Parts: sequence; structure tokens; C-alpha cells
Amino acid sequence: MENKIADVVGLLFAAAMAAAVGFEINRRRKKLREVYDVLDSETKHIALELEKMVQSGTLKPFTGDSLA
Amino acid sequence: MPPEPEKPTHEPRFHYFIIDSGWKSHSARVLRENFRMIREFENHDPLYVLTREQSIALIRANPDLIGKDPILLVHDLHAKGGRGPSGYHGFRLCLGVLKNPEQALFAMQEFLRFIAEHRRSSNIEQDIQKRLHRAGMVGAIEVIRESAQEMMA
Repeated sequence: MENKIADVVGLLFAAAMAAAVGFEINRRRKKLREVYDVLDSETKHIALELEKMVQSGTLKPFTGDSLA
Repeated sequence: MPPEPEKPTHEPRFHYFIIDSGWKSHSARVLRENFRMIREFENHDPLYVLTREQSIALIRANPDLIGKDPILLVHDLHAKGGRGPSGYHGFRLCLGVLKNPEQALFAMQEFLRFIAEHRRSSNIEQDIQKRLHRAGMVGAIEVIRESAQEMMA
């Protein structure tokens, strides 16, 4: 009986650990993509808006060495 | 062998954009203090710095970007067509997400290094996806290692 309880507790502990590791991996992957990623369907239009500003002359190439 | 710097007369591969609404954050300070380094490594491709007002207007129109700036957005001019309806391709670094100045500096260095190393790639987006996947795998291994260490402690 005691062995069975120990097995169940061990199994539950292993499952909890696996879930925690999975959660942490997912969290880190999400964070990484939040910082650094390719332009996806939700952000491509920003590049489009910026290129429109370049074409209209609203944005000109920056030639300075420092930001004000 | 490191890629040779291109002459300014070459057709630009990328357009660089800096979006910075003016948060007084560690990552914003890192960008402003190391701006010259971006100039050094952007290989004569045009760099466009949005004014504070332009940045705020852009972020207002895209409120999901609030707090993610300063953003370094790179538009890949050689990757027109292909996936997506807009045909616009590129990548972005949202420094505002990072709260630690060392992390922000490291991310900026990594980003510039990656662009410099892959600027001749025919599909740099695919290279980034591969790298993110690899980084994800490395992260997974790290998490497992840390968990194992915690269990053994």
C-alpha cells in the first residue's frame, strides 16, 4: 500500500515537473519572439507605413552620429 | 570569413528604422548611447530615425507597440513578394521589452551581428526563423538543466 502511494506521489511529482518545464520553455520562447522576430502579418503593415513615409519624403535618411 | 563592408554606391539591401517615443528606460538609454555603433555596422544602408512625434503617431495607430519601443525595424528590400499579402519582409528588435540594460545591449549586438552575417543571404527571414528555433531549443535545454540542478540541490 505504502509503495503504491509512493509511486502515485512520484508520478504526480514527475508530471508537475514536466508541466512546469513545458510552461517555462513556452514562456521563454514567447519572450524571445516578443523581443526579436520577423515581421509577421500583424507587423508587416508597419513596414508599409514607414516606406510610405520614406516615399513621401516625410522620413529622410539620418546622417548624424548621435540621437538628440 | 567576415563579410566585407559594402560601398555606399551599392543598392541598399535594407532600410533601417528607429522608432522611439521617448520612454526614460534602460533600453532606450542603451540605444541612444550606442547609436553610433548602429551607424558603424549598418553598411551604408539608409537609416531612418522617426521623430518622437512620428514615433508616437505610429504607436498610437498600433497600440500593441506601446512599451515595446525603442524598436529597431529592418525592412529587407530584396525580399519582395513571397509570403504574405503585403510583400513586405523584414525583422524587428523590440528593445523596450527588455528591462535590463545588459540584456538590451546584448540583444542589440546580436541583432546587428546577425544582420551583418546574413546580409547576403537570399532568404534572411528563413535564417531568422531557424535561429529562433535553435534559440528555443537551447532555451529548452537550459530550462531542463536548471530544473535538474534545482532537483539535485
